[in-house]
Amino acid sequence: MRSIILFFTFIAACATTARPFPLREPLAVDPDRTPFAATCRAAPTHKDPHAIACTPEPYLSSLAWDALDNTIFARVSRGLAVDVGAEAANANALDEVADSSWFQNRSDVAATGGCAADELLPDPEQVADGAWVIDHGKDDGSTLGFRVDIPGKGKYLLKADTPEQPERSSAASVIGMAVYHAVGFNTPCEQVVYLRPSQLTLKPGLTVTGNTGSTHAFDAKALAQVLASSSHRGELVRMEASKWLPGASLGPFRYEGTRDDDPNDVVPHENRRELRGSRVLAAWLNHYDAREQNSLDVWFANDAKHARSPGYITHYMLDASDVLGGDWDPDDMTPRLGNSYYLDFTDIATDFVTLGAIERPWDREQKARGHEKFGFFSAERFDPDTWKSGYPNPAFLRMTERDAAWMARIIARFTPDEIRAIVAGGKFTSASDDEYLAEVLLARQHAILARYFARLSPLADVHVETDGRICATDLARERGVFSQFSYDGFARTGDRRVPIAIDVEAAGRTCFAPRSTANPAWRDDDPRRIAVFVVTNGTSAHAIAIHTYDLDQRGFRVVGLERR
Amino acid sequence: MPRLTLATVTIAAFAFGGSVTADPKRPTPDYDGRGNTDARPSDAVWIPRLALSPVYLAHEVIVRRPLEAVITTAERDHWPSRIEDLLTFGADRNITIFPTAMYDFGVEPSIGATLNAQNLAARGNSVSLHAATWGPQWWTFVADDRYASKGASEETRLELTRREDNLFVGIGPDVTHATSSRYGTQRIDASETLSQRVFGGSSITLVSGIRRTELRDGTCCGDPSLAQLIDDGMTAPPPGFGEASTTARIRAGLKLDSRAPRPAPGTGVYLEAHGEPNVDLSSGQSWIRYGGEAGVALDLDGRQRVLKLVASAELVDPLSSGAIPFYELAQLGGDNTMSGFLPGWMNGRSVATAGVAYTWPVWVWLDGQIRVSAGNAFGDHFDGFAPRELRLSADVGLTSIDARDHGFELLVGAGTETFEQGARITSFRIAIGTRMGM
Repeated sequence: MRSIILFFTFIAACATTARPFPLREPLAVDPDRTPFAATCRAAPTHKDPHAIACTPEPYLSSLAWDALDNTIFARVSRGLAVDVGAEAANANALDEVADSSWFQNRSDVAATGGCAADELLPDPEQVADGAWVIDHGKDDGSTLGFRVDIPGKGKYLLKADTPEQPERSSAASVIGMAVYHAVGFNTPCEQVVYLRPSQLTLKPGLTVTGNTGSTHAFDAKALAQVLASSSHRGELVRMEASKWLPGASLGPFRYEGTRDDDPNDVVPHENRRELRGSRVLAAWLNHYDAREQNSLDVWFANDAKHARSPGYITHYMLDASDVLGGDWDPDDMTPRLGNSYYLDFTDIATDFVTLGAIERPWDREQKARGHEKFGFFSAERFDPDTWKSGYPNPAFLRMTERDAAWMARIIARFTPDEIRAIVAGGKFTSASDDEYLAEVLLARQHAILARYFARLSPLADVHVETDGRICATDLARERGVFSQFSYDGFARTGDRRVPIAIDVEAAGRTCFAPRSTANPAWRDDDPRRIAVFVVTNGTSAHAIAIHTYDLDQRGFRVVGLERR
Repeated sequence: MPRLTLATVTIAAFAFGGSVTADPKRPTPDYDGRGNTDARPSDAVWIPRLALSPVYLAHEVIVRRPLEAVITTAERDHWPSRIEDLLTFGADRNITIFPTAMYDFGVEPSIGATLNAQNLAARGNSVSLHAATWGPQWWTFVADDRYASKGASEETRLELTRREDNLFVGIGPDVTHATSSRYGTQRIDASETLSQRVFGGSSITLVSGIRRTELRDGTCCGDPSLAQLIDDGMTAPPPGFGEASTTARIRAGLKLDSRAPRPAPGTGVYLEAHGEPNVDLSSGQSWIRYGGEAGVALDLDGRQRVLKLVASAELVDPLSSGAIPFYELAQLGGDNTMSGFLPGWMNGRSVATAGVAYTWPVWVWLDGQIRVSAGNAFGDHFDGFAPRELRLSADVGLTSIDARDHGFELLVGAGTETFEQGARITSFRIAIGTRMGM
């Protein structure tokens, strides 16, 4: 079997020689935060009727159209456009994604997510009565809340839990965003806070406008309603605090196309690997509400004091309050979340034609006894391959095996201890909730790795050691995803094909010692210096092809990776 | 957004005012050093793209983009809340207006609206007004005042209906589609209903009412009028043709049902029986309608995949001399019994059906439904009943789950001649729409 894999990989490797990787450092940073001057427009305010705004035009996303379009019309368009899809357009030579305004490759997992130390809020006993000033009600959305201005900390949006799922919504926002942040996305700082009602001061004359456009007063009665609806621990009210993002909000980013008014935005969003691959991340957490309204573009001016200052756009993920088992109305919809779209014509037609003979995952979903607050969030029937968001997401639809495997490699880096530390950020009252959630996340992580490491090679972090060996980490072995590993490989230089000995070391380390055959007289970028090392691990269907330049006594330089 | 052709983009930009700044886009980086050639689909896709481009363009320009403009504008300007404001009233928004529409192939369609007020006079009180029409030849108006409390309910109802599309094929088991005709009715029906839930889904119901029926000429859907057929000597006038009646009635009903409401599994048995004496106040003629339905339901997996065996019968017996008006006879066809036939397809002094039905969930709000039944209309006390005299009816469709007030249904069905006549399909039915809602 291994020889067959090696043979086909060799054929594939040969096929790629037509366009070799150049001798250059793989792109680590995408310079898409290059400042540019945006067109100025009138933006009158109450204070300054002559104010101008020199930012890209804010995008007002329509909830209804986004759902309807992605459910029906965009899909028809894609079909008529014969939109067959292809690989992501921004994968670098190492089959990774460069740091950008969308994504940062992070080396460690911070349990506090996007919160810096000085953004964490104090315990209630350290806060004076009336110190937190409510300066705004929470306008839209399904959860109740308000904005507070906290001296020395800035503005935070406080959101209440729902009585039906106490503690879940706030914990989900914090845990979900911490995971998104650890993976590499930009997120706001989210944390669970316990507060005394007396530490709040309500600014008079506040109003809130709901999703339907109706406006009403946000007064003491409305505040009491919000506080009463949230979870409590004794006298303390539990809420989720989301740090108000700096910069100017431009509304959500779209999962399709590019912004016309952002010169840095050149890769259609549906072809960005980080957005495509985030389908696997959303599946891990069951972030079925992964739609454009839960994202935000923010304009950062180089000089915030000058309206006409050039700036750039940074893209944020927002609001994961649906993850970890968020429920829906009607109740029957809840077990379908993650398994089927809200309106899934394929599933409806299939169930109709088969007279319901096919047992669906939602037919047997059960809430875990003692952990009903997590709805149907479990690992029992979790299939990352068939997972679906609430309605089709254009980037998710275009995810390829390589995009998914890329995200799986990132998810594999979360150790059990790191997952438990992130879960602890949910500040559940019962320790058993922490244990349950961590176990489910670990089991779902395992399901993801088992699926996506079975096809494409899980070898990652390929690098040249100081002793000249080329080493990688087999994430599948490191995480114990499979049990039987059997390594094999060969080196190809020109037409020569030579077997290589693989050193299998602890913690997934997998190394081999390449032998230089290059002539020092050759130029560094001479194609004759190209050496490709093909390695299989015996568990994934495909090998990894490590493209290097043999720089003779200076060693080998890794210039590209192929997993296919 | 898939970009089909430069022309498409250009047209779209002009048509919808897409904002494009003068700032040039930066060059796309060479992310993998090889031009990311695998990010481009094969050139071969341009052949089907070119072939489909007119349809694509039409879909984008005629359907998708205008819809986007309308829906985003509607959302931005809060049309839904304005419409809601327009259609809901009262301090607690307890008064609602919602539209209804029904299309049933073979009878007139209708569009209308229902106004419903919850807790109007008291808690548990529901008042509904429904009006629907398809021109002067088809209209209905219903007023309904209902009180419900602790399993008991009281309902006062007034219904005024004019329709000129009533189907009449004949009386008895052997009629054929060749004699189908139409007639019109204008009815005023007032009733008072008392109902008491006994246990589970079981209940006792008492109804008293008075109904005025006047016959009119009518045609529909390519069928001749009954009056024309009679004038042409093609058929004899059925009993009561051309005569108005004012009927007083009292109905007593009992329903025993072991099934619990959803989401509980649908396994159980049920029995429904009713008796309804009628008297025509103008002629003094009287008759009694009685019958019932028995069913056994088995939820195959406890998840609403329910197989049901159903048998039903209804008889109409005279209590005085004289023939019972044809429009007061027992009937088959329509939504509940032998749905492959239009309402009123079969008429007789007695009717009987037996069948099997299967419902299964296809969506949160929709069930699939398939029904097959055999039955027919017969003479006095099933006179003429024989297996060869039965007709088959089958239908398949979608129905909204448990929505008494504003349900949706989509049904395709067919009915056959009797086995003796060859059991060829003689009736075809498509129905789609929201139920009347009352």
